[in-house]
Amino acid sequence: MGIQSMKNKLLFTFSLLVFLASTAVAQEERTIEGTVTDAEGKSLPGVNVLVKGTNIGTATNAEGHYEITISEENVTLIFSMVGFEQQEINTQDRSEIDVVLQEGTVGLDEVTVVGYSEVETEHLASSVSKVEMDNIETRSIAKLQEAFSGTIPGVTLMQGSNLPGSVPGTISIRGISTLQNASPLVIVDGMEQSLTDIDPNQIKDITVLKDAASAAMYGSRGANGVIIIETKRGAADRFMVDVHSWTAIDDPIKLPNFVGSANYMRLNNEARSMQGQSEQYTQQEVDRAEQGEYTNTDWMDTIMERKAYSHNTSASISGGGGVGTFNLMLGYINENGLNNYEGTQKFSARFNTNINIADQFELLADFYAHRLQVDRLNANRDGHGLYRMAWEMNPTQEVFYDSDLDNHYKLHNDQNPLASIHHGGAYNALYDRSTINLRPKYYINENLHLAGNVSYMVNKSANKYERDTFKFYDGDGEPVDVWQNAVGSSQGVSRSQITARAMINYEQNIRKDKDKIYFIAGSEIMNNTYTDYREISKSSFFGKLNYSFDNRYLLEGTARADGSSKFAPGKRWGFFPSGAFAWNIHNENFMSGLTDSGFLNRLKVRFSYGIIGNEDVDPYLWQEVVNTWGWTMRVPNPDFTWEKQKQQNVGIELTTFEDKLDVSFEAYNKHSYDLIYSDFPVPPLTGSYYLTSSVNIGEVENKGWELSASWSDQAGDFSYSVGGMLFNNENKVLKAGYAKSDTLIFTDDPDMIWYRGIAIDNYYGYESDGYFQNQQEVDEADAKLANTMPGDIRYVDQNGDGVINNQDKVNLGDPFPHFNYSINLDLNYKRWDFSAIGQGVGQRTGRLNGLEGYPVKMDGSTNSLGVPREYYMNNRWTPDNRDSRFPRVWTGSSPNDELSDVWLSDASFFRIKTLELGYSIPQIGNSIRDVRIYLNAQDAFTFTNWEGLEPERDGGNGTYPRMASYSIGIQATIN
Amino acid sequence: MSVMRKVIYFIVFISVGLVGCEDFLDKTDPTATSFDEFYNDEDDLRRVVYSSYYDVFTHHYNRETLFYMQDGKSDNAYSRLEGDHHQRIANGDFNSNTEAFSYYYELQMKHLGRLNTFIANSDVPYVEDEATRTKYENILRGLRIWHYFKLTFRWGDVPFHLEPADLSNATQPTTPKEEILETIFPLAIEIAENLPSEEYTTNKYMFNEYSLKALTMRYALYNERYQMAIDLAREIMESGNYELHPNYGHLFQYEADSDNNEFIIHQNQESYSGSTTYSFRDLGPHYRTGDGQSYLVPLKSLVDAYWTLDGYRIENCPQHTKREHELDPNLHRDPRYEASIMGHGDLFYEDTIDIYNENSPMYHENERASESGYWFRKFVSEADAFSSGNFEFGLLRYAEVLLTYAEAKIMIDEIDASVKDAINQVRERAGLDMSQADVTLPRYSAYTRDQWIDLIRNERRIEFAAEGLRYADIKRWRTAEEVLNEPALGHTREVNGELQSLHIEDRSFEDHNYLWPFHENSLKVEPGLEQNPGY
Repeated sequence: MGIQSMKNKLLFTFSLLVFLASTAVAQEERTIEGTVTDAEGKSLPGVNVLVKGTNIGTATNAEGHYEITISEENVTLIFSMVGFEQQEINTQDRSEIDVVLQEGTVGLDEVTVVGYSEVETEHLASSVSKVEMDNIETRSIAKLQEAFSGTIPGVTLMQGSNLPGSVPGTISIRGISTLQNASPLVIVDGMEQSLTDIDPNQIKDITVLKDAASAAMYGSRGANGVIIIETKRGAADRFMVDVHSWTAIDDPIKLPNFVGSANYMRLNNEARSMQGQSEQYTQQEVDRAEQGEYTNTDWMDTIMERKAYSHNTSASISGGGGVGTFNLMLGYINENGLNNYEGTQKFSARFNTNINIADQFELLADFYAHRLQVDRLNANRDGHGLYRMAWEMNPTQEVFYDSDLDNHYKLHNDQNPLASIHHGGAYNALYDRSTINLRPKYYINENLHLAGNVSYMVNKSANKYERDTFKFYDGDGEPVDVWQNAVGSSQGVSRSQITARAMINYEQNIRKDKDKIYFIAGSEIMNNTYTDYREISKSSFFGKLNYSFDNRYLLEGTARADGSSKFAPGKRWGFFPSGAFAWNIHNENFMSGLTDSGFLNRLKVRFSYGIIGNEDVDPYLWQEVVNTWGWTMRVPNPDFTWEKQKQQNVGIELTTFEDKLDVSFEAYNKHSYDLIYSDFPVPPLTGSYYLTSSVNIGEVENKGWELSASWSDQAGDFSYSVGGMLFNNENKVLKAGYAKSDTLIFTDDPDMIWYRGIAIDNYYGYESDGYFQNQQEVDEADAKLANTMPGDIRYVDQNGDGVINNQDKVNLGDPFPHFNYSINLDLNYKRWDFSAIGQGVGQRTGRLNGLEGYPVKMDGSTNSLGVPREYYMNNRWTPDNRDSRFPRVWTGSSPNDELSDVWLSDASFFRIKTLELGYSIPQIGNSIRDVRIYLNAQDAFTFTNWEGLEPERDGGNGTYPRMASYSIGIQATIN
Repeated sequence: MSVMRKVIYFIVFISVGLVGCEDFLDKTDPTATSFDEFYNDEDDLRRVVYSSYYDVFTHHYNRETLFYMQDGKSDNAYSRLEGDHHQRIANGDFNSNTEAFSYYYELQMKHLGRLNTFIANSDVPYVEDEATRTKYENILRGLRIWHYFKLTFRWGDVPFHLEPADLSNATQPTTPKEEILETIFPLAIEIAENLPSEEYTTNKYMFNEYSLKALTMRYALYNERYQMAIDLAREIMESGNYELHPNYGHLFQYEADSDNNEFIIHQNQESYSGSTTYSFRDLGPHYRTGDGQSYLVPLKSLVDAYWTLDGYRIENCPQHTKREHELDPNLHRDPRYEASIMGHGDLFYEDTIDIYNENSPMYHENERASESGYWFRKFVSEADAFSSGNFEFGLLRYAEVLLTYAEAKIMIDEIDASVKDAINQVRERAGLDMSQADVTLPRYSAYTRDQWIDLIRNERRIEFAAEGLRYADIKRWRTAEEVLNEPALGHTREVNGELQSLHIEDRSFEDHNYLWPFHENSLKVEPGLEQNPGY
């Protein structure tokens, strides 16, 4: 089925739905009246009463009474007022309708969005977590990912970077269970999208589906968990403008403390003389450097030309009436980098509308456009290259020659980072995304509705670069290099995604409202077309049934069948069922003593079990591909199919002490099997080019638990809440191949292996036994790597065969964060509010690689660039410091450059993620209200023993620094 | 309209929409070609031959496989990039995890796998003239032999499999090296005899009878099958197809690179689709705005190996002291030195090279400058300093036939007039002073076999510097354990009355290094392999 014919079918749907809707035909006029009161029975004046789908409306008088004339037999009335939950009521041949409105703040949690439908939270049997939007909306975060740090049990974000225009880190939900992309599925208003381009200000709700029973509705990609985002919509009765603006200054948390000239010279001479090479610097030069008479360039300082800062302004203009609502949300954010050229700008516009076409027919039409503009240096396209370059320099190198020539930059090994900033040219990239999301709903009656969803998304990107001619001269003024004029541009592969979904939704109270049934069934097709040749299609059928028996026993069953074009013919369909059961113990009669006294408010236990799939892999991998030179590129696999995951979840939720204490605990086991490994190594005699095949191989288990608790209370004007969470995930390979005893290697990564019992990502290296102290020890040792010298690492010969090789490698741990915890505190006193989030990782093994660990850059070519950090210098092996933390200083290739426990270090940390102080003014004049001014500090304090720079990231050879950010912001509503 | 009817409409719609779902999911790679679709006609066959040469033997920029870069594994030269896979092999800093070993092993083994498939299916494509099919088929079979020559020389026992393999039979046990050689030497000669004996006018890089025989001769010598080497050498000499080019230096410059009768196996433009060559980038100095990267530079050990103009070792030179020669490599030396190497004080592009001037791009501490202070002049043309080249290279020259003949005869102790004539031909062409260097002169008459061995080995080293033969030579002579246990040194100067040489790195070579290790990955993927001793 091609796109064209699919479009035709979509058109057909619409016509059909419109036709169905128009069958309600106009009748004669009549009047309806009634009274509107609040929950305590007080009458409410000024309540808007609107006829859905028309411009007809009125308001209640001082006594809360209203009277409205309608022209149709039966209509739906919308009752709304600021501060109260909106209600829709069908006239159903009545002429008098009294309404009770609930206060708006109550009951927000009562309904939870799960997989294309909403279920009363009390009726949920699966594991679902909500993000407290209060904590996100009201603070200055530039990227939505940051909101997931320390806010939801089981969700981790290792934020390694603050680079403008890049993703701050990968979110993982309940560990990693795949060799493919492990990031969760993100659904924005029912359509698959990414977190990166969503402005936090536009979000109403974030829900995280963690277990199989909840994620199974998204069967095909639910294995990594699902994040559901609902954006804000307008309200029927009011016009208002919300604005939020903040400005932040970023400050590097920790910069590498490289040694200065004199120490660099000493260490360089030390390394060379130990290696029998001629020393590079004379004693006179070292002395001069010591006295400050020699070049001593701080390259990091040279390239960080300014403070990084960012700014965000967003506005939302919303309103509505009987015919529908709208919300226009505009956002602008710019983030500036550390030199005068670099920065990013994001522009976004979202227009969400609800159109009440007829009484029973509603259309949600949302339009979204987003542009990310990234300005970088041509020499720094990935944002980190400039820093890598600066880390390769050493302090004895001058930026400029001491000469009369203008811009007489000195090139060192062909590079000079400052010249790259000012003469290396500019690189600009644009990433555009636009979406259209149409969601018609037709209410057949109160209990039954049909819903459709057609969404379209297109992603485009383009970039250009430009460099003017610049000439370099050597110290004698002779030309040495020319950076020639260069201009170019290219377009990225753009992708357009079309999704069409049709659903039938049924909701009914039965057995005299004691029981409730929810049923949804539907089907979905999805097509991704790329402007290169690729095309991916998916098709699914799904159904879900929730049944609440007397509000005590809750049953949930889901089934989804998914077909994906990525797999081999005959292997394309996967079936993913799941089930859940929950028991609301507090609703049992025998608990009434405890509940009536207010001591016990809620006690719920949940169990779920299900299977979900994963297909996040490149298309066509199973196929035979022979190139023009006759190479079979990969060994084809006609059995290539879905990766699957069995999940079990147990949860308990407790609310006690008159709703003051909330405790919940969950434990889970995720067992993945038929894992997709697209680079499975095959023997070379197969004659394939890449020597790989895509296979379904191996089993992995993630087991974990999550505990969270919060206490909230108030005393007079003072209210507070304190919360905390602790969770852990342990990850284990159960089968690393076709049999339990198999081991699996990763040809591109010798420092990792798979065998039964090891973690999915691991440090597989040598155990060390101190350092060789003198030449005699080196000579006497049988088992050593070639060219070992005194001061080098002595590796343990595990099997005693006199050779150090792979047989001596052992499991040195895994890089995953264990025992994640966070605490948060919210205080409110009159108009003041204060909140703090602290987040930490109790146990993590980090790897000190790159220049963060080694004294030189092990780049695989000369291995001699770069400068040791002072920390290395102070802890290196010398004949006088034999019991040292690190081996000797070296240059060139070295036996020390192997993964061993020497280069692993404790990367646990505790970080004050957020500190925020706010002051609110309820009303200024007639039209400005809810004004709030706040000060915010992100990542201001870090406590860690990590020997590298940033505990949320392993070492490296130079990256854009991790920043702490300090901001001031203002929010206001105008109406 | 009843509720039921609406629901029925809805269900009908959904069913209509999802009919043909299986079609909707049937997406195949539009770029994919299957083997059957690919292998059609003569040109497909030619492209297979072409890429089978290009990927492994005649690639124009791949420094891992370029023949001149191979000296970086030996005491002749230093390769400054670890990723080129020469440096660690030369300095001994390797083990079974070193990437070089999986790189070379997989490259060759996967080519064998593919050659097996194409040879088994060589009757599939349509070919106008059956003789063409036979020729291509034999060239492919010759390439398969070449792979096994290289593989057995590097690893010893390897899997020996001449049939197409899929996942079920691609894991083969190893076959002893001697058994493989017993099979492939006669096979090589048989294939050669079935090939045309004249060099081709197009695609002359492909095997003809004599080029395959010359290759077989090389590996006969490597594997100490001296009589076979002598016979093959004699056959090539007697064919009259090849001769020494009168000017040694011109062979490696544009004067004669494509205009000589000496190259037997060619790496010419046809073998890399007419692309440019990068020998200036790889070997040339970073000079001004040009692209010289000094990836491979000669070492003092090679510089000092050149004969004096009279054919003496520098330590035996009657006119000058060894010290004088070390300080000035141009002093009264074998003209092949100047044709092959340049260094401090020499002229390049009308500039005098000064490796100790910190302001010069050629300053020896600069990354793109030579760490030894020397550069190869072979394949480095000033014409390429600011543009890329179009060199034709000789992968096997007639001089090798002569010196192989002489060496094999010396090894079986038949040092007769034909041996001396072969050596003299090479020396005379090189421009040595034949009044002194002629090996028929009385000063050579008392030479013992060991002295002859020493002479022929050094002659070979000088003649083929930067042509990639040295590493194999020092392994088969079992001299690697001496010469690769010496540090890599560079330019020598006098400092406070002492000789001081640039010291690049210490090197080590252990007994077990004569055979390469199988990479750990290969051992895991192919359980039939057995690690060589010592790794």
